Amino acid sequence: MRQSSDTKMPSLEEYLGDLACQLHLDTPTKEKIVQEIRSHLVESARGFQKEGYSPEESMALAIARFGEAGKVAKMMRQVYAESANQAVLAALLPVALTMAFKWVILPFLETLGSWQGNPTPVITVSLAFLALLIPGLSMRCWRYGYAAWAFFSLIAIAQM
Amino acid sequence: MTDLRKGSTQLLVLSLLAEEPMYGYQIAKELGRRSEGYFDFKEGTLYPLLHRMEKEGLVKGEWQVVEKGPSRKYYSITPEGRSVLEKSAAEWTTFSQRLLKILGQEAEPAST
Repeated sequence: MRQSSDTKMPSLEEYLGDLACQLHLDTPTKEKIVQEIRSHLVESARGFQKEGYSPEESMALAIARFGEAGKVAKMMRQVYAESANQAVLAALLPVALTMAFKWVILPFLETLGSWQGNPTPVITVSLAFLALLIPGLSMRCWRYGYAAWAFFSLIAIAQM
Repeated sequence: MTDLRKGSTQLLVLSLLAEEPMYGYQIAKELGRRSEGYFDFKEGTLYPLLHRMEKEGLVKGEWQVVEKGPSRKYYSITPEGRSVLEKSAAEWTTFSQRLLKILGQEAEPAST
């Protein structure tokens, strides 16, 4: 049942490095995924070694059974894409509230004549801070959340 | 037929985890052994499925330190996962029974 292959299979570290590069996720999530896959490949290779393969052949077979790094990374990205979308939405929410405050609540208060202040700087800073916290605290995809936070906050500040 | 097999992977994994907590490699080996190679797939496809099920609350992952070798992440089924398993198993049973009936082969009456 020995397999011969003309194409050189990557080593464990090369394979995991390739996979990690293509995951495009935040570092803690990426490290956990790589650790789990490393554990799988090591144990799988150990099984092939028991069947009489050399350590190099065993790891090559384990990697071949596991599948191409690019395809696995793509499927993993799809699983975590939903989190990224949620992080973007989480970052958008406080900014949307800022705009709603400016265009709906503030005009209403001014109509009532009960408050004529200029809250722009305070509201901008406090809501931007809130926006900064939400994606970081609630989502795993920090980079997407903060990128969205920066983008939407700039829009909000421009609108104030 | 390939699509049917793909669609049933979640059900198969949940049914294994309903018996006992398992880690990824163990699940892959057990699926291959019990199906005698019929449910053969690239083992790497198992992890996106496990992570998706974990995010959906169907399974719970927990790292355990192993004396010899790297740590393993064991997955156990949650009450929500058991509920999905029961529903999916019933759907597949009905599906296979109806199909066998149309094909003119012996089948037990469908429960639903």
